Order: sequence, then structure tokens, then C-alpha cells
Amino acid sequence: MRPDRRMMSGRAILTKAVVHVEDLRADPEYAQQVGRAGGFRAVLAVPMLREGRPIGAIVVIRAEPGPFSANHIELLETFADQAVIAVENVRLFKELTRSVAELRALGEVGQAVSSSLDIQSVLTSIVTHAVDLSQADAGTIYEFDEGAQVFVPRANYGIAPEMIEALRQSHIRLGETVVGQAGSKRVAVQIPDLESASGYPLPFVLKAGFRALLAVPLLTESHVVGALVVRRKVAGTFPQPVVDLLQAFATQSVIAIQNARLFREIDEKSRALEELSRNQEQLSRLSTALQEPLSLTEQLRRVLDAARQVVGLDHLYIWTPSAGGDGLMVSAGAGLTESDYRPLLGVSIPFAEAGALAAVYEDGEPRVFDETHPVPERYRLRPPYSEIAALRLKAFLVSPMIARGHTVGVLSADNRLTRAPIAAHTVELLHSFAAQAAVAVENARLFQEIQDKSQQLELASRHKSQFLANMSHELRTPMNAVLGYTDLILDGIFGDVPEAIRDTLERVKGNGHHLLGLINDVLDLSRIEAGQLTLSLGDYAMGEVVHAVASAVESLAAGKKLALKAIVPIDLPPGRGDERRLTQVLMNLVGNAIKFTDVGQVSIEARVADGSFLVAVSDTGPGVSEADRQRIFEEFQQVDSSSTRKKGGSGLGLAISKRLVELHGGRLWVESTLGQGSIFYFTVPLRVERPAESA
Amino acid sequence: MSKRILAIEDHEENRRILRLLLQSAGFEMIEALTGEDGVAMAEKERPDLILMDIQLPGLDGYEATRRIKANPDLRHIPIIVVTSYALSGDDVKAFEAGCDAYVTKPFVPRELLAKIRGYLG
Repeated sequence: MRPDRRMMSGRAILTKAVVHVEDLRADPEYAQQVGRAGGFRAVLAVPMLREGRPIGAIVVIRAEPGPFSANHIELLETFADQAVIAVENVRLFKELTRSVAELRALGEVGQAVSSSLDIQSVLTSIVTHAVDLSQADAGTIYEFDEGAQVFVPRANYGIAPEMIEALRQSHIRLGETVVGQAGSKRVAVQIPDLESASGYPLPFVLKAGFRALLAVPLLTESHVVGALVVRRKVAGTFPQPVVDLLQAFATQSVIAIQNARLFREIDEKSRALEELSRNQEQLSRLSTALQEPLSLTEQLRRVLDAARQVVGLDHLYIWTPSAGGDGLMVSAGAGLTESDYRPLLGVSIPFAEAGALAAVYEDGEPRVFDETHPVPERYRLRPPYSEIAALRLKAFLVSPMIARGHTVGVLSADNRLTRAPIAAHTVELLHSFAAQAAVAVENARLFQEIQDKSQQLELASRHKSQFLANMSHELRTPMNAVLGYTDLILDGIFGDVPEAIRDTLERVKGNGHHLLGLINDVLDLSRIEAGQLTLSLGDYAMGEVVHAVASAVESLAAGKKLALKAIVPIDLPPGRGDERRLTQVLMNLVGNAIKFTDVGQVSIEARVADGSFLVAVSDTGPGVSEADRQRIFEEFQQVDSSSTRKKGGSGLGLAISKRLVELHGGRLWVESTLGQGSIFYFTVPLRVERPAESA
Repeated sequence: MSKRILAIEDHEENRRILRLLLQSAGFEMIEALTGEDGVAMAEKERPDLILMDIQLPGLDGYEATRRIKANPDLRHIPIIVVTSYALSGDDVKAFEAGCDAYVTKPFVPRELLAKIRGYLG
């Protein structure tokens, strides 16, 4: 009901003054109806004012005309004041209940974010609390998949599995639905009533009974990480406090997602580095740094802004150890003016002089000081730092920032401007923000660590590739001379060679070629790793490749009494690719098959399948166990090291072959039954016009 | 008069092997250790055939081949490129530079001789 001057209560509210009418019939403004109906004549209306603003009115009426006494008026004014207090108490109580609930939720979520690496449970906890506190019915946290450019639902609350599946199938892109719009506009977006919103692309949402939607984006400085959406079954606009609250949850989600990504990444990198140092030969194929650097200052600023919004303190600071590790520096602040901040910029306060800040950093216990708990001498800042205006405080609180059990800094806050007391629940609330800030600091440290590790990896990998390339060249030169001289003697340049010497020289030559083959394998692999191996594309006939390999290994197979078959249809289409490299691949596969097969046969078959050549090399050897089927394509791996000794070989052949096939845009794999034999397959496109991106 | 072959090769052992091989086949061999010297010697001595290493200090075998083939007085001299383990694309680069034939190390002496005789026969 709007206040109306024709009503006594309305007049009291609008004028904010006592309205005293001795006879209604004499009042020109009064709209008679009420008076006639009730038959009363005199009215007294007292407004209920809270801090000067009307929140209601108390009205008393009398059937007889005539004035109310001064006592009556005063009494009614007292009633009005008490009523104001009662109403205010109810409102405060509601607000307190609400902020306690928010505090508890933020606290729980913050705890989950800082302690759990299980992204799923963290996001589920966030979405559950977000839905509860925004008095919505359902919610979803989407993660934005940079590669596919779609929002993928990661955590849901209050919706049926079919709808989760439908959301997953919707492949929401930037700009689409509230989710995509929140992402592309980088602001909260809502639809107060789906029924009247035309063209909403997800009809199943309305069908499930949802009427109002609110989405807030999950943002880092430069990227959209995802979106948080809540859905309500009752139409209507979500009020600003709910939007603010949801944004606080969005910040938490970003931290949780980044945290999980970072941890995943660092874990992988650490393992890769270990691997590399354990096995120097293993060449690394790791990508470089993370896609997106996290700005620590930006993250801290967000946490502090969120904290300031929720707890209403004047100034908040985050202190972290200086680079030298001998003091604390301000890394971020909220509510600070330029003149507050300037004296703090780049200043590291040594631990011995940092008073309460250092104490909290060292023992991890939060501390609060105010009128009743003044700062003890030992917790005071020492000069000259005690002279910095922003830090000359009688009442302030300091909370430790703890991430994964380590204190990484402290959060301090004060009400220097308003001099308002710091409420007890504020301390607890700030504790949860300190935990978030700690995660951000920890993330930045992890990020730095990742970058360092990436650089080390890259450097190690580059050094190794270069070393291998140089070494293999250096090894090859004298080997060529050894083989050259051997050939000269065998060719009779120095005269006839007796049979016994000839036989021995042939062995020197055979071993020399074998060694050269190993060196060439190492060179090939290091070139592939360094991205220096390019295909020499030309026209070739796959049939000729197969026959060339078959005739080259004929004597090898015959020596082991193995049957060797080559099956090639005569109508194979002409191919385009690197003939020499494809021959090398097939030679490697057939060579292996003969090497590892003692009884039976080895066969090579080539045909066309799905627009590619499909080449199969099958043997009746021992077979490859399932566990080994991946491993044998890695560098320096044979099924077991004893077979390396027995069978020879660098263990690089399959790794090289796989890469060479992949450079052609094809695939190499093995199928095998233990004890019965193996079939190695590879495919290459019929016509390769350009090499595939680095394998 | 025996045919003269210029070997442009920086590695001493390889030169020695070539020398032993060519002399045994009745050829005369003259030698250059760098690409620059090789080009200069080709201009001065006008050999009947050139064996060109690729990995040479300074001017590499591709460039030396290009320079010799760019000289109208020398263009007719056959150049056989002899290189270490061939990487894909090396042969293409060698032919683009203008060489006449291509042999990879370790070469089989008899096969190299057969190739040389193919040009000088």
C-alpha cells in the first residue's frame, strides 16, 4: 500500500510528523469514507522513524471529536519508538541469520577450496551453497572448454540426471543462453521470466519448471573460465545482494578450478621431470607453460574486494614474505587511497620489526586488537614503520594465510576511517578469506614452479637433442672410415685377401654397419624430437616398397628357416610420400618380426582401406603382452632388457617408425596373442601432400 | 693421360680412402679441404670430375656446387656429392644445387668407382 495523504497513517509517513486531527469532518483533505463507516471523529497518527526514515505509523482514533492530550501524544510517540526498535530488531535478526548462513557457507566453501584437490566435490559444495543462499531451486557450474569453445557442466544441484545430460548435449557457446552471455559480456545476466522470454534456446529448462535464471561468469583477468547459473521455479528478478553473493561464489569457483588445473599440471610436470632425470635417453614431448598465467595481484585484489563487500571493513591488506625472505611486504590492498598505498609500496618490513604481523606469520594464530584489547608492546611495529600513517592503528586484526599446512602470508584489516568496532563474526569470516588468499598465493608459487620446471625440461630436452645430434655425427665419421678401409681391403686394392681374413673382415664390416644403424637411429630420433626431420615427398609404388624390403630380408629369413611371404594386389594405386622413410618403417617391422620369430613364418601384406594404404606385418613369434603393447613404441624399450641383449637393436626402431608414420598422417599399432604371434599394422594416406604437424 | 679427379673433403681419413681407391683404379686425385679452396682449384686445375663432401667448414658442399655450376667454363664437369648418412631432403637439396649424382657414406668402393667410370668412361 502506498502512503496516501488522505489517510492519517499516510500523512504521518509523508510528513514524518505527528498528525493530530481534532475533528475529521473539519479536515478538508480527509476522504470521509473511513470516518463515515467507522463513525469516529478524532485521529492521532505518529510516524515510526528509523534514523529519520519512516518505516510505518501508529494511528489511534476516537468516536468523539476533540483534542488528544499532550500526555497521550507523548505516550504514543514512545510506543512508536519502541515499535521501531522491535521492527528493527526483527530485521537485524533476519540479517544476522542471513549473514551467519552466508558466513558459514563461504567458510565451508573456502575450506573446501583450500584443502581439497577434488575439484568435483569443491564445485558441488559451491553450487549447493550458492543455490541455497540465493533461494533458488537448482544450479550448475560450467567450465569453459577452451579447445572446444563450449561450456561444459561440471557440477549440478537440484536438477534431474536427464536435464544434466541435456545440458551436456547443448554445447553452449559464448553468447548463447544466459551462461554464454555472462561469459561473453563478463557480467551477471538474468532472465526474470522464461515464459515471457522469447527464443530461449533450451526449451527443456522451462519444461522442467524453471522460470527465472541468473548466471554469473567465472573470470580470470583475460579469460572466461566458466559460469555459475542458478535457476528458480518462481519468476522474478534476482535482487542485487543475491547477484553479489553469487559473484563471491564465482570467485571461489575460479580459484578452485585454477587450483585443480595447476595441481594437475604441476603433478604431470614433476613426474615428467623425474622421468627425464631418471632416464636421460627419454626425450620429452611436454608442452611449454600453462596456457594462461595467473596474476597473483589480480587474484588477491578480488579476494580482498569480495571480503570488503561481505564484512564491510575499511582497509584490508595482504602481506607476503619479500623476495629475500627476511620481511613482509604488502602484495595487495583494498579500500586504500593512493596516499595510503604509496608509503607501503616496495617496503619490506623486517620480521623483527613487524610486530603483530610477524607474530601471526610465525605462529599461525590470528590476533585482534581494540579498545579493550590494546596492542601489547611486543606486537607494535618498530620505527620507522610505525610512522606510516596507514599502519598507525589501535584497532586491527591479523589473520594467517594458510594453504596446505604452510603459512604463506597474513591478512590484516582495520576500520581506521569509520572507527567502527570489529565484530566478532568478522574475524571468523576474514579467516575464510585469508584461506582463499593463501590459495591464490600458493597457486602463484606453483605456477612459478611450473614455469621453472618447464624451462628446465625444455632446456634439458634441447641440450639432449643437440648432444645426440652432435654425438651421432661424431661417431659416424670414424665409423665410415673403418668401413671404408674394410671395403678397400675386401675389394682387393691391397692385393688378394686370404679366405680366413676375408671372413673376419666381413664380420668387421657387418658389425660396423650394425653400429652405424644404431647411431643413425639415435640421430633420427633426436631430429624427430627437435622437429628437424622433414619428409622428402615424392611419388612411389607401395608394391615396390614391399618387394624391396622382402628381397632385402630374404636371406635373413632363410637363415632362420622362416617362410617369408609378400602379398600385394597388382592394382594398388600410386602413392605419394617419403618412399625412403616408408621403406625404413617396413624394414624395421619386418626385421623385428624375423628377429623375434624362431619358427614359422613372417608375412607382409599391403592393401587399400578407407582411402589409405594398410600394411600388415604378421609373424608366428612369441607375441606382445597387453601390458607391453604401449611401451614398445616408447624410446629405448624392448619387451624386456634381456631380449635386447639376446636380439640386439637399439630399442629405437619402433619409436622412430611410429613417428615416421605419424609424420605421414598415419597410424602404427600392434595386435597380438601371446604365444601365437603379432601383427603390426600401419596406415598412411595414399597421397601425402604435406607432412602432418609434429608427431 | 690419366683422368684427374678433384676431391673436396675436409676429413683426412676419407681423403686417404678416396686416394687409395682412385689411384688403384688408375685415376689421379687432387685435393681441397674447404669449399672455397675447392672452387678455386676447380677453376685453376679444370679436373675431369669432382667428388664433393657436403659438411665442409665455411662454404658448404651445396654452395660450392652452385658456384662451380654457375661458371660456364666449369659447368660441364660432373659433380658427385658424397655425404654422410642422408637426411631426407639432402638429396633434393644436392640436386637443386646442380650436382650430377649423389652417394651416401659409407659408400661401397666398387659402386663409387662404377659411378665415376660412368662419367669418365
